[in-house]
Amino acid sequence: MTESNSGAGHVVPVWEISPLRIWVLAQGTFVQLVRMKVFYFLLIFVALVLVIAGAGLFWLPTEHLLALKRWSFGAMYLFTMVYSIAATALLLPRDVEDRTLYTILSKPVPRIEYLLGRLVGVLILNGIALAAMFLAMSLLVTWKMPAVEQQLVEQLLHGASGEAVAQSEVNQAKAEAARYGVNGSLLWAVWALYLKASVVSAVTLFISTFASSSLFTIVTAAMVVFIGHFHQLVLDFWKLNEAAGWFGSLVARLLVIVFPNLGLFDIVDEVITGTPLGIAAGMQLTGMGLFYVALFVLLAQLVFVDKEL
Amino acid sequence: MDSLNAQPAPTEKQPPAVLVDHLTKVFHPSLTRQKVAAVIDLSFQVGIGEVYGLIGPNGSGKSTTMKVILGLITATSGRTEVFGIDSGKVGSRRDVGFLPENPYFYKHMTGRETLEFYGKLCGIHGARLRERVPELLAMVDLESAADRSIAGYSKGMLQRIGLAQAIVHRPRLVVLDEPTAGVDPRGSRHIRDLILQMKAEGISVILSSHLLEQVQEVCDRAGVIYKGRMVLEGRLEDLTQLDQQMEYVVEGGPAGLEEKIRTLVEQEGGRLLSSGHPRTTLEKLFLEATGDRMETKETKGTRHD
Repeated sequence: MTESNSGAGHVVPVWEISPLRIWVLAQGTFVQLVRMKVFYFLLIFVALVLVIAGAGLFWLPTEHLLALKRWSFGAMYLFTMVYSIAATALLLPRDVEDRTLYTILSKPVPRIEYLLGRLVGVLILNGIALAAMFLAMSLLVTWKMPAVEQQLVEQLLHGASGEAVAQSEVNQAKAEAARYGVNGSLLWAVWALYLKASVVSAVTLFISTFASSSLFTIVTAAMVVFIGHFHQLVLDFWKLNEAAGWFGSLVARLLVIVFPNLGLFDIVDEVITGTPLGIAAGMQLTGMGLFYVALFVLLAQLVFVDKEL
Repeated sequence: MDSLNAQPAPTEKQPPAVLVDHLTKVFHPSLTRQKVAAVIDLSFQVGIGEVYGLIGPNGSGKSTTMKVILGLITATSGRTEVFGIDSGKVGSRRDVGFLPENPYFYKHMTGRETLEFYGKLCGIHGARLRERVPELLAMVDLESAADRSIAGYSKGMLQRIGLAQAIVHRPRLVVLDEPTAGVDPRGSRHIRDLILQMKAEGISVILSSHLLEQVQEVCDRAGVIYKGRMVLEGRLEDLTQLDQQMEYVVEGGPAGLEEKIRTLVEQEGGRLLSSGHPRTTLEKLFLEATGDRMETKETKGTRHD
């Protein structure tokens, strides 16, 4: 909190950052995006999972469940990436173009609050959309679980070929089936997707602070997302391939430093096939996500704070 | 505000509403293009409760000056203060309302939501906001269109909702950039009345306009900017007065009176420059001729520009 001398000669406290104002801007952003009818995508998602759910006759229950989760996560990934880039890219350039930014920043609103408000609005939208899609997927997965259990138990009995099967083995088969269901690891996978979308939103927001148009922002952000998925590959190249010479090494170092490592958040494939994810790994992911978001918001603020409007 | 032409002198205790001191703003468009000096060594003050007109041709530096005052851009040199606070600080905008030229607001919002949004940004919430918004809607005559999307607003309605958002937090200074640009005479008159109302409430106003007649009607003082420099400044009364001429308006005089007056003036060493019937203005004629029809349209909310 700082203090400044008001015109009336009284010392009046001024909050540098007001969570309430950020919330007002975030609400405004959320309503703006909702009224752009972005949630219509959810109808497509529901249609997709219903089609996959209805196609169960052609697969074994375990395969069916796997397909259901894979397609659902694919749709979630598509939604969050597209909206993280497109929705964020539209906000700042449009506000500059329409001069709505003038009326906002001519109020006692610090620029960092504007940036945070816009970002939080997109994150709320992504959060609600992901939660809705995850809920829809979970309902179908839970509905299919008895069939998976039955299949695994039948496989066990079939394998025993008439011999008696111990209850412990049946329980083991059921436990195996539970790995395909809605569990903590699946939640971590959704959370990782959300973190990744949040990083992409923050990157897009940063790009939009110096971009000349929404199109430039979208294209550049898409490139960052693309390159960000090869971060580990470039890092390995930097560390291991000394033969690349100084130029190759320099480019690799630049790429590693400049682009966020989005591959870190790609845990969906392992999780949907039943590989468990521990709390420690989940917390590490969360830490990396928050670090990247904070970093790109800070960079955005550094560019935006003195931007001439 | 009771002193229409008074120029309040800033005191030590009460700084002026706006202080612009040797302001220079140079833009650097790109590496290849030349620098552009939009404002050069500009100085002026706006007193508390004063309405100040900033006039000049397009590209003269009016909007740039306003943006520096509002902290939207930084000065290359010189200083600007709002109620004694450096205009680069966020705190200086606590008491300022701004209506940009040709304002656009979020099209997904209604008029009421727009005012609520800007009110909340200014820290007005709850009952205070619920009272303030209808009050403002009534003031700018947009009650009937309050719950309609901004996207369907006419130019005049946009200007009025813009004016309402500018004063939502009861600022002590209002900055208006071309507030009547593109607005029909009736809407223009309405906005002018609102400016006069602000003036009556003691709100300081900086107004830029191409409509010199309007500036003359509402402003206490004016500055003329040309190519970034202040070329003329003063009280409107002083600026517009022709010291060497007098004007008399006579009603119901007998025939031959004009000749008698001419003779009398010449006897006293003067010269009668003009005489004839005084004329009304085209604006007044327009307002009289269209009054009822425009009101009907406006209440129905039809676009009229």
